[in-house]
Amino acid sequence: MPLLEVKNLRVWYPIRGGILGRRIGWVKAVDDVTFSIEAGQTLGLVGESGSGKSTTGKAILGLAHISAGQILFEGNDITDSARRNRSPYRKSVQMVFQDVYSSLNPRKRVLDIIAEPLRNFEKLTKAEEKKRVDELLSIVGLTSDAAVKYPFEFSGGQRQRIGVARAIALKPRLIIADEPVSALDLSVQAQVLNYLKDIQKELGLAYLFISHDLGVVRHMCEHLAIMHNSRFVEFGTREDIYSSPTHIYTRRLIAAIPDIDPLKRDENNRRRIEVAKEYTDRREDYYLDSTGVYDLKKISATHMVALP
Amino acid sequence: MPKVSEALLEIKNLHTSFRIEGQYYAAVDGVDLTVFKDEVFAVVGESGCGKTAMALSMVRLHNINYTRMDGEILFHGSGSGRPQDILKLKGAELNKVRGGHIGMIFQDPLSALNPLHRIGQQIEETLVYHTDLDKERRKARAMELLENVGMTDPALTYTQFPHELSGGMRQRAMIAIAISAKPDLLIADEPTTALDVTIQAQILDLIRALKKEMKSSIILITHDLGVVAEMADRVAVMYAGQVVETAPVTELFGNPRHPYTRSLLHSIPGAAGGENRLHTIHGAVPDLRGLPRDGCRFSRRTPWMPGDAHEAVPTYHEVGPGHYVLCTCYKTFRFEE
Amino acid sequence: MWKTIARRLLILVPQLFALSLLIFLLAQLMPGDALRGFIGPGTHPDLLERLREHHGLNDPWYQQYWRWLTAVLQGDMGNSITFQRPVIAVIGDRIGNTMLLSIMASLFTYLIAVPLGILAARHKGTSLDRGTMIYTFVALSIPTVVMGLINILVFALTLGWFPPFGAVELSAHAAGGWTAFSSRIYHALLPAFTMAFLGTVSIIYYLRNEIIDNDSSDFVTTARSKGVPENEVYTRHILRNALLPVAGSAGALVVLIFSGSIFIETVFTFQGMGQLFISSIRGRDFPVANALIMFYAILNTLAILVTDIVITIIDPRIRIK
Repeated sequence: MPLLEVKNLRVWYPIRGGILGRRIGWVKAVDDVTFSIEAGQTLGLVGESGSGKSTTGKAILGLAHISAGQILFEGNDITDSARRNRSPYRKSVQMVFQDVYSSLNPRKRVLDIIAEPLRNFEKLTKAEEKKRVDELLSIVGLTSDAAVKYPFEFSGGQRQRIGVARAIALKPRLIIADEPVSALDLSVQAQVLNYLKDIQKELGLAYLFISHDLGVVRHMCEHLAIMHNSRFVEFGTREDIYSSPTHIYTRRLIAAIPDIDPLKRDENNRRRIEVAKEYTDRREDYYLDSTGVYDLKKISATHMVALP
Repeated sequence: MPKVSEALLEIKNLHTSFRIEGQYYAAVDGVDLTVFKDEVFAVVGESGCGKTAMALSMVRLHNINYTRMDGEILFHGSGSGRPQDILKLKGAELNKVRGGHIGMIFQDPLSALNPLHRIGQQIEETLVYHTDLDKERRKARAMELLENVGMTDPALTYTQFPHELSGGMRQRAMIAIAISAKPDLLIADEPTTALDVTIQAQILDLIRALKKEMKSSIILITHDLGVVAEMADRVAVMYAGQVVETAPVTELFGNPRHPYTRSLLHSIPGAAGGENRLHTIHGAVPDLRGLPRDGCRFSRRTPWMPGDAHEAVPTYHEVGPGHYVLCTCYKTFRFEE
Repeated sequence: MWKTIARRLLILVPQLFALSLLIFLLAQLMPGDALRGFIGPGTHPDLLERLREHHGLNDPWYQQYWRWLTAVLQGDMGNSITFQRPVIAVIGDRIGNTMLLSIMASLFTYLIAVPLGILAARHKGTSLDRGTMIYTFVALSIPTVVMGLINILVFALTLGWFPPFGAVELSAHAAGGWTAFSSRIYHALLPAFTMAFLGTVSIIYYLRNEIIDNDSSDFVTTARSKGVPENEVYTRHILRNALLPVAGSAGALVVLIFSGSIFIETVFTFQGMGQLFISSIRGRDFPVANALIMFYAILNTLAILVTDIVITIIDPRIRIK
C-alpha cells in the first residue's frame, strides 16, 4: 500500500464577474492529478511558475481547497478536513518552505520554533523537550547552543536546516518540500540537500519534492512528475525523464537548462532552437486545442506521457 | 573573442565600502579587472562575495551617504579619445555615461521598472537624456526597440504598465531600456535569476543576439555557473570581495585551479545525477563585518590544508594564457577525504 | 469600473436599511419616548395616552418603523423635538458651517503635512527630521478635545488672535455677503487648525517613509542608471510614487475630520452638525440624531468608495473588483 495516494485531485477556483458577482468560469489550478508515493521514496514535482505544482502540495496539506478527488494516507481517506484533523495525518505530514526568511518567526528562539509542533501534539516536560530539540538540531548538523538564538543570527542554509528540524520534530512519514533550496547558494544548497538525504535514510522519510530546478530534482528524486498547465504531462523514473523525455514540454524544459560545459554551447543552442521550434510549430501533436494537456498514457512499465 | 583585445573598462584596485554602525567595511576589496571590447565577461560568486556591489560601483549607483569608493574605473567609451575615470566624473558627465555609454539590466524587472509609468514612457526617458530625437522620433525609436527585443505587439506594449506584462516580457522591456542609447557596455546583474528556466533560455538568446548586433561588451553578474558556461567569453570568480580566479571560459570549466572554483563546480547537483553525496564547503560565507581581511581568505574553508600552502599576502599567478589564480594554495589543493 | 461603482452603491442600500433598523430599535430601547419633551408634571395620563395613540406610539415597533421608513423615503425626516422644526431644516442650517470647517481642516492638514513629510524625508536624521517626529508624537498623544481647549486658552483667550466660540458674528451674519463669509472663515480657523493637527500625523509618517523607501528602491536605481538627473529622479520617480498612498488616505482623512468635528464643534461651541449631534443625543431628540447617524454612515461609505475610485485612477496596478 502506498504511503500517499492522490486520486484525480482538482483545485478549481471560481472566477466571478458582473454586478452580482456570479460565477462566470473556473481557474483550474490543479486539474485531475493522480499519483502515489511509497514510504521512504522521493517524488519530484517539476514545473514552472503557475504550473500548479505548489498548489498540489498545499492541497495535500489541506492549505488549498480541494474541489474534487481523493487523498489517501496509508489507505485512509483524508480528503475531508474534519477527518484529516482527527487522524494522525497532521503529525505524519509536514512541510518545508522555500522562503527561509519569512517561514521562521523572527521573535521566537530556535528552541521555541522547533518545539512548537511538539507542544501542539506531545506532552513533554521541559527537560524532555530540550533533549528532543537538541537531538533534532544535531540531526540537521547544528549544535545545541543554536537553541537559544534567534533566526536572524543564522545564515540562509542554517535557517533552512532549522526549518527541516521543525518539520521532522514529530517524526513524520512524509515531508512536502516546496522549493526548499531555491533561495540558497550553491555550496549551501549542497549541504541542505545532503542533510535531506541523510535524514531520509535515518527516519525512513518520503518526500514530495517540489522544484523548478531540474538539476536538484535529478539529484534528489527517483521518480518525477512534470507539470504544465495544471496537469501532469509526463511521469516516470529519473532514467525515463532524463534519458528519454517524450512530451515536447519536458524536452523543452530539459533543453533549456544551461549546460556547465562551455564546449557544448553551440550544440545546446542548436538543440534548444530545434525543440523550441517544434514546441511552437507542432503544438497540436501534443496539446488538445493547442493548450489542453491530454490524459497520461503508459509507454512503458514506469513511464507515462500525456499524448493523444 | 576578438583577435586584438582592446580594453573597454579597466578596474584598478577598486574598494567599495559600506558604513555599518559608523564603521566602513569593504564589500569589494581590491579588485583589478579588464573588460575588453566585444566580449561577454562573467563575474560569478555566491551571495555576499561582492559581485553586485562591484556592478553597482561601475556607474556609482550606491547611496553616497554610506558608501566609500577608492581606486579607478577607467572607461574607454566611444566618442572621447581619452579614458574617463568614472569615479572622478562630475554629476552631468556621470549622467552621460549612465544609460548613454553603459546600460544596466537588473535581476527583478518588476521592481526595477516604475510601476506608475508606461513601458513606452520608461524607454523614452533614456532617449530624452541621451539622444537629440524629438517626441515623435522617440516614440518611433521606442517601438523599434520593443520590436528588437522580441515583443509581438510593440504598439500595445508601448502603452502597457509593467504589471500588465509577464516576467519574461518585463525583462525584455528592461533590456530595451538598457540598449536604447546604444551603449558600449551592458551590465546585467543576475538578469535571469527571477525567471523560469524556459524564459531564461529565451532572454539569454536575446542578450546574445543583441550583443552580436550591437558589438558592445557585456558584464554578466551571476551566481549560476550554467549561465556562465552558456554565455561568457571570460570569467572572474569572486570570493569575499576579491577576484580569486580569472580565465577564458573553456579554461575555467576545463581546468579550474583555485580551491573555491573547484569546490563550487563540485557542488553542482544533477551533473552526475544519482546517489552520491554532494560536495559541500566547510563553514559558511561570513557576513560583511566578519570577512577575513588578511591572508588567503578561502583558507578558513579548507582547514585540512597546511598553513604554508598559502601566501601571507596572496598574489595573482598566471597559470595559462589569460588564466590567473590568487594565492599559491591552488598548487597543493586536494579535496578533503 | 462603472460596474463596480454601481455594485458598491447597490450594496449601500441594504446596509443603510439594516443600519436604520438598528438605530430605530436602539431608540426604542432607550428609556422615555418622544413625548418626553411635551409633558410636564401636571399632564393628565389620559391626555398622554391619547397623544401616544395619536402619534402611533402604541403600535407595534415594526409598524412604527415602517411609517418612519416610508416617510424618510419621501424625504420627510420628521420634526425635531427640541427645535420644533423639520429635521431637514435644522440640519440644513448647520451643514454649511460643518462643510466649511471640514474643507478648511483638510486643507490645513495637507498644507502642514505634505511639506513637513517631504522635508523630514529629504533631511533624514537631521534635527529637522527629529523635530518633525517630535511634532507627530505630540500631535498623536494629545486628545483632540484637550488640544482644542489648549488652543482656545492660548490663541483665543490669552493672545486674542481668534474668537473663542461661535461660527459667525451675529452682526456680520446680518450684513451678509463678503462680511458674513469672512467672519465665518475667521471663526473656523482655530477649530480647523485643531482638527488638522491629528490628521497630519499619519500623512507625515506615510510620506516620509515612502520617500525614504522609494529613494533606495529598484526602480529609482534604474532611473539613475539611465542617466536621469537627480532632481528629475526625485520629482518624477520618488515623490510622485510617494504621494500615491497619501492620495489614497484622503477618504480616511474625511472620516477622521467629520468624527473629530463632533467633539471640536462642541468645544468651540461652533454651530455645526457635530455639535447638533451631541446636543440631540443629550436632549433625546431622536429624529435629529437618527438623521445625523444616517448622514455619517452614508458619508463614510461614500468617502471609502471615492477613495477607491481615486486610487484606481492614479495607480494603474489597482483595478477594483
